[in-house]
Amino acid sequence: MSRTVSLITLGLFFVSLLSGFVIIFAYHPSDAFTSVQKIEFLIPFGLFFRKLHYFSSEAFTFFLLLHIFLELSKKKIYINATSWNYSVLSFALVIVLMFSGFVLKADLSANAAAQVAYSLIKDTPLLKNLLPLFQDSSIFYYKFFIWHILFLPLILGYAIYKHTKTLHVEAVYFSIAIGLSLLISMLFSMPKDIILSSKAKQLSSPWFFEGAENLLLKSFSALSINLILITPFILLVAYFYIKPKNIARILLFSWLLAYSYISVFLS
Amino acid sequence: MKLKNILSLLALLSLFILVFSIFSNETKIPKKITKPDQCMSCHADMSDIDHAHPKEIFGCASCHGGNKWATNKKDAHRDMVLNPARLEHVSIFCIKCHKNIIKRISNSMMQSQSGILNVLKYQWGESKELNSTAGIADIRGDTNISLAQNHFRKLCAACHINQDEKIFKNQKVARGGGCSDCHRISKTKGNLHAKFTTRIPTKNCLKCHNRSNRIGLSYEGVFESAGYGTPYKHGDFTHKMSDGRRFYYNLPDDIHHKSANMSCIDCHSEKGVMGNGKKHYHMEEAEDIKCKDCHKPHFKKANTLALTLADTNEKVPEPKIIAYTKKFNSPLYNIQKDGNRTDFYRKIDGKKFNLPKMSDKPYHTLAIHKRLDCSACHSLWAPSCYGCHEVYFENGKQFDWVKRKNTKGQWQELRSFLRFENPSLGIGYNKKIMPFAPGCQVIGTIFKDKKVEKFHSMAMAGWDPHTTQKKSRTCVNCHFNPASLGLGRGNLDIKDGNITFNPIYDSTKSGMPFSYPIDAFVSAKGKQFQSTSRKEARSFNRVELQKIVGAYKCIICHDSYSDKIYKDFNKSKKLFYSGKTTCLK
Repeated sequence: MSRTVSLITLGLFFVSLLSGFVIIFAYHPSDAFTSVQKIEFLIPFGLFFRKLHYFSSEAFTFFLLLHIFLELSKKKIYINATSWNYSVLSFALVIVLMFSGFVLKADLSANAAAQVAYSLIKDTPLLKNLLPLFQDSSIFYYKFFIWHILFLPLILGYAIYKHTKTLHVEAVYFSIAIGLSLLISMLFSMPKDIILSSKAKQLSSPWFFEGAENLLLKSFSALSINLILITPFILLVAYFYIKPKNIARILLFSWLLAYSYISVFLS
Repeated sequence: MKLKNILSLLALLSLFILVFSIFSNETKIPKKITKPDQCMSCHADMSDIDHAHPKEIFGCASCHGGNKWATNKKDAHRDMVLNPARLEHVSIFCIKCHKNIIKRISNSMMQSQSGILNVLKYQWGESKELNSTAGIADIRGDTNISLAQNHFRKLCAACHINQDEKIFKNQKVARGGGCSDCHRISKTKGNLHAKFTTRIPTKNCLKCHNRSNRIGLSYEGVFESAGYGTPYKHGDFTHKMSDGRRFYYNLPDDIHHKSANMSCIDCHSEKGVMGNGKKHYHMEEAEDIKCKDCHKPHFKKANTLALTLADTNEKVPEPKIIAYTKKFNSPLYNIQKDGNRTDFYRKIDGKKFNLPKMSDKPYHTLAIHKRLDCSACHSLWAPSCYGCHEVYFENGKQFDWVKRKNTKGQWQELRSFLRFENPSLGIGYNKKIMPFAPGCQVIGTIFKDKKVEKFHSMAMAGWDPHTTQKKSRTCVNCHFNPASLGLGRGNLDIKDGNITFNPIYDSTKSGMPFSYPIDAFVSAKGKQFQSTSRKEARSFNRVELQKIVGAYKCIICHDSYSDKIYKDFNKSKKLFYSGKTTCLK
C-alpha cells in the first residue's frame, strides 16, 4: 500500500511536470492573465492541459500528504537521515511550487495571494530577502515564471532523487497517475479565474494558505505567522531524531488540527 | 486478484479516460475568434454607444467587464456589470481614458450633495458652520441620524447622481446611474445599445432641477402652482407635470430659451457642471459661468480641451478663437469669434446665432448700480414657496434614499402659499444685489409617541432664478415695490423721509409661531427677520432701504433710462445740487 502510494505520487509529479511543460509555450509572463485566458478558451487543448496540470498538481500534493501520513504511521523509519531530510525539503518545495503556480494565473485572487505573501515576508528576518521577487511589477510574473518552470522543479527533482534514489516510474503507475488526474479533471471544475476588473468581495487564496491569511486578518505579526507555517517542517525534521515518536506525532497532529481550524473557522 | 493485476487494470482504465478526455467538450476550440473581444461572437449586431466608443475598437468587455476571452455565456458574463457608468465602476473601466473627469465628478456637488446637506444642517440649527460636511459619503454609515439628516435622506437624496435607478417605482422620474444620469439619452432595447452623448438635453437636467429653487422649470417658463390644479381648463385640472402629482402655470420663459431654445449645457461649462476636482460646499463655488463670459467675452485661441469638446459634440464646428470663462478659464467652444462677429452655436444641433453683446448704455455703466447682479434687474419672476409645513411622524416609515430601504420616520410636506411676481431683492452670496425667495421656510411639527414638538426655521435664499428677460424690471418695481425691497406684500409709504409699511399677511392670526409677515425678509426699519444660507447674504439694511426708496425724488419724473439725466448722471447730480435744474422749481 505504502509503496503503491509512493509510486503513484511520483507518477503524479511527472504528470504535473509534463502537462506544465505543454502550457509553458502558451504562457506569456508579459501579459500573464491574457495568456492564461487564451490557454483556457482559445488555444486548442489549452483547457485540457491547464486542468490536467492543475489537478495533477493538486493530486500530487494530496498523495504526498497521504504518503507522509502513511510513513508516520509506521513504527520504524526505513531510510537514513539524509534521505529523510530531503523528503522534508521536497514537501516544502511542493508547497512553494503550488503557491507560485497559483500566482502565475495572474487573476485577482493571484494578485491578492501575492500581496499576502509580500506582507508575510516583508517584516520577517531572512525571509525579507525574498522581497525583490515581489517588486517591480513589470517583471513580477517573469520572476515567478522562471522559478516555477525552472529552478523549483529542478531542485525538487533533485530532492526527490536524493529521497527515493531513483526518478524512474513504472509505466503502470504513470498510467494510473494520468488516469486519476483526468478523472478528477472530468469530475471537478477548476476555481474560476477572477478577472482583474472584478469587484469580487471574497477572494480565495490557495487552500494551504488560508490559515496564514486569516491570521494576518486577525492582526497576527508576520513573524509569528511564518513560525506557525514552518512548524510542521521543523517537526518533520525533528521526527527522525525524537524518541519516542508519539510525542512528535501528537505535535504534528495538533498543529494540523489547529491550522485546519484557523483556515476554516477564523475567517 | 493480485495487486499487479489491479494496477494493470487501472492503467488500462486510465487510457480509456485519456481517450475520452481528448474528445470531450473541453478540448473543442471556438469556431470563430472575434475581435476586439470574444463577446462579438454573440453581440456583433449590437449598436454603438456613441461615435467616440465604436464597438470595433472597444468591444464590450472593456466597459462592461466580464471575461472577454470566454467562449461560453456563463464564463463571459461572470463579474460583468450592466451599467459601467456608475461611479463605483467608472474607476475600473473608464479610468484609463477619463481619469481627470472621474476625479472631478467624484468630488462634484451632484455626487456629494454637500450644498443641500450643509444648508439643511445650518438652517435647522444642527451646525453653526455652513461647511460642516463633505456630503453624502460622510453620512452613509451614520447610525445616529439627526432630524436634518433624516429629512435629507428621505426627501432630498433621491437626486444623487449615483442613485440606483432601479429603485424608483415610477421609472419616468428615475434618476442616478452615475454618468448615465446626464449623458444617456436612450435606454438599451434589444440590440440597440443605450445612446450616450455630450449634447445633453435639458430634460436630463430637469430630472433633478425641478424642485427646491426650480431653476430648470423656471427656465422653460413653468411655474409650479399650488396643489389645487386651478385655474381649471376645459372642466379639468390645469397643466400636470410629468410626475403626475404637481400642477403648473405657463409664465414667460427665459430669454435664452425663448429666443434660441438653448439648453442648460449651452451656458454651463463641463467644469462648472462636473466640477473642477476640488470639494465644494455650495453651488456658487462650483458654478463657472457668468453672464459676462458670453455677453462681454474675452477671446483666446481654442485650446486642446476646446477642440476635444467640439469634436465630441460633433455639431459645433471646429473652433479657432473662442471665449473662456473668467472663473475657471473653461473653454466656451460654442462661442466663437469670426472677424468682428461673435457666433453662438447651439450645442444640441450646432445651429448658429448672432450673440448680442452687453451694451455700454447708462443702465449698465451707472456707478449707483454697480452692486447689482445681472439677475437683480433681468429676472422677471421667481418661484417663491412660502411657509413649508414639514410634518414628521417618528413612528412612521419612509424610504431612505441613502440606505436604499424603508427606515423609521416619515415626512410630509405642505405649504402655505406660492407667488412668482416681484421677487425680493437682497445682498447675495456674491455680495451683490440679487433676487431672493424662500429657501426654505420650514414650520415643523414632530409627532412622537405621546407628545408633539414644534420647530421653525425661516430663511431666504438668493439665486439667479433663470427667468432672464431682455427688458429689465422698471425703476419703480425695484424702488417702490415693498415685495421687491424684501418688506413683503402690503402698502408702502414715505412720511417725513421715513418708510412706513403695512403688511397684508398677519402671521399671528394665521397661527404662525412668529410675528413678522411670512413674506417679509426685513422690516421697514432694516431689521432682518429671516436668516439666509450664506454668511455674506442678507437683506437690505436701514440705510440701504432709505437710499433705495429715497430715489423716488428722481424716479417720480425720470422713470426711464432713456431720460437724458442718466446720460451723464454725475453731471446731472452736480446741476441738481447747484440748483441749475428745473426739479425744485
